[in-house]
Amino acid sequence: MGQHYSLQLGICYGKKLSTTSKMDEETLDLSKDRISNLPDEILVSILSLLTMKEAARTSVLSHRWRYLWAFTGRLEFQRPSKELRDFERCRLVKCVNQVLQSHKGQTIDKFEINFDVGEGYEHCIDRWLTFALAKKVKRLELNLFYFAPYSALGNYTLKPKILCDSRLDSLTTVLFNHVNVTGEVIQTLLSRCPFLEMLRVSNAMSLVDLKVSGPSLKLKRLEIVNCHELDYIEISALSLVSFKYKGQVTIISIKDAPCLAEVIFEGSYACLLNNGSWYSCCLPQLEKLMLDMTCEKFSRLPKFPSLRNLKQLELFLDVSRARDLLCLMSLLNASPLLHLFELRLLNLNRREQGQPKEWEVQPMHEHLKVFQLSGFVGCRIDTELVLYVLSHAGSLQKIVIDPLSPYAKKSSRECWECDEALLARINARKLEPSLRPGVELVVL
Amino acid sequence: MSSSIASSSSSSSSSSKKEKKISLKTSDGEVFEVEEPVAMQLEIVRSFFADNEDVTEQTVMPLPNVSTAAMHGILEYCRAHEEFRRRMPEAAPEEEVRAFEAGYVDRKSNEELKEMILAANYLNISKLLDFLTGVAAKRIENKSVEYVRAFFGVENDFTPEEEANLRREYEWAFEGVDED
Repeated sequence: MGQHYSLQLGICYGKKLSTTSKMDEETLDLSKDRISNLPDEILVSILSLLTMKEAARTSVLSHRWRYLWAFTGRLEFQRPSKELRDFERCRLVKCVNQVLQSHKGQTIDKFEINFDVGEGYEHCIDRWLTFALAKKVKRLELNLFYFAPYSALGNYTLKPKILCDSRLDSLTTVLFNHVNVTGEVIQTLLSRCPFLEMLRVSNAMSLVDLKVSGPSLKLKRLEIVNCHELDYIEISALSLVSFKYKGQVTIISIKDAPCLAEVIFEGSYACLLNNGSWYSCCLPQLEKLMLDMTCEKFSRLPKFPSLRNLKQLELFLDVSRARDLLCLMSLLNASPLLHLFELRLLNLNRREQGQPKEWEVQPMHEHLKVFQLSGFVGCRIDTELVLYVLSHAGSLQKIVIDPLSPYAKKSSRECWECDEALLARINARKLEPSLRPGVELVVL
Repeated sequence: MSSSIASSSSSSSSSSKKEKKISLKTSDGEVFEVEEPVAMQLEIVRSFFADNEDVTEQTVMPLPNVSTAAMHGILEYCRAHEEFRRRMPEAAPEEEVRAFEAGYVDRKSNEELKEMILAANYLNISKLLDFLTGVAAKRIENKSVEYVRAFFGVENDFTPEEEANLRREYEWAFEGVDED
């Protein structure tokens, strides 16, 4: 690239004051193609903001641009349509191979495989991983995505050898979906990735025992999702801030996690919290708790010990069988510092009418500022709950009511503009006379 | 914030004399008197004054690679950021910055944008350069080769055969491109 002179003037200019008179004679380079004369780094920085496809197309612009795209640091291979046909898959695999072959950068920031690679290409995936690790990848995402998630067919198994043969100290984020990993492989990964901050493992049917521990573990976020064969999780992670578990009942033992502030539980495990052993050690320190208990019909809450640092609480409940929700108040009582309470209700029975119970004003929950309720219909159960919060939360500033079911997609917001939503909004507005001054009611 | 910006040409009024100004001369001969903290955002200016002891306040620094039009754009950006920094030294008011940048870039044509990228590179203002390259990337998102070539003003030095071969080689990259 030695032929691009015009801007080198600028780079060395600051040091060459004595040539001022000469500089005065220099005028703007009037050639048309001045952008191409910019240094490689700047052009590559533009290309790095594009998708890989867009960047690859710039190889056709001119000889100057021919290989610039091959220096970009984000290699992302995503599926074009829902289900891949064999020839499409074959083409995608070829495309990955071609891009890796022509890549010229020293390092890559992100390597993502996000398509159904299928059977017969395991050796390719091995090679891709080895390539990415050799290029000191920071963010590794392997989402092999199967349409028949429970079939063992085509599941790629990550071999420990690949991890052992490469240096892993560049990795900060690892996301594996439909990648067969065992507890040992994860332990190898953790012990050889000193800078790993985020690990997500989902749909790994070979994961049975998981031990997350290590003396120099930097891990901050851990997510284990739908690993249905999992029997046991043990966590000792000094830097861990956030932990998410979605799936069936299993034994989760959090032994040592002094920084853990956020916990998210979904699936049957969330419904059976009361027999879990995890909360004895970490509940008191939590600042944010999210429980999605919708895999069962809600009847009662487990008895929570004190959540004395909890500031944010999110609950998803299927209340099709609930007679009232006043049992939730025990949770508020257990969390004296709660600031934001988000409650998402599924299947609220709008026919549950009757006179909602009314309360004396009795400020108890002094820190609660925002109460957000989705799935509101305006029956006795939800109205009663709102009235309770209004009379017991002395510092409340805002109530947000969303009549849309928490699982409804955004697109259905418009077709939801039917009688039911209108009715729910009218019902929500009826709460206005019960508002104290200073409390804002927002109806979505 | 434009109200607080001093006039950019060489008319020196008597009242605002206490602030130190630095004179910068663009390729077409116009001299800008720029408040020192703003001018120091231009790395090339900062190192010019840091590395050369024989320069005085009267020195007019020539910037032969920067047009007057690009200079106006650059100073508008740098002054706004200096104003943000002065008002909130610890953390920039993010929303305001974003609103300013969005409005700022809306008013720039593709030609002006390119001119400013070249100038920002020459003047070595990394923050502005990052911002402008981001804007350029946005403007060529999902566009055809022809569009991108015209956008950057790239002279195509491939023969038709060479280009056709390349397109065949990277066939996968040419699926689903937006109409220009």
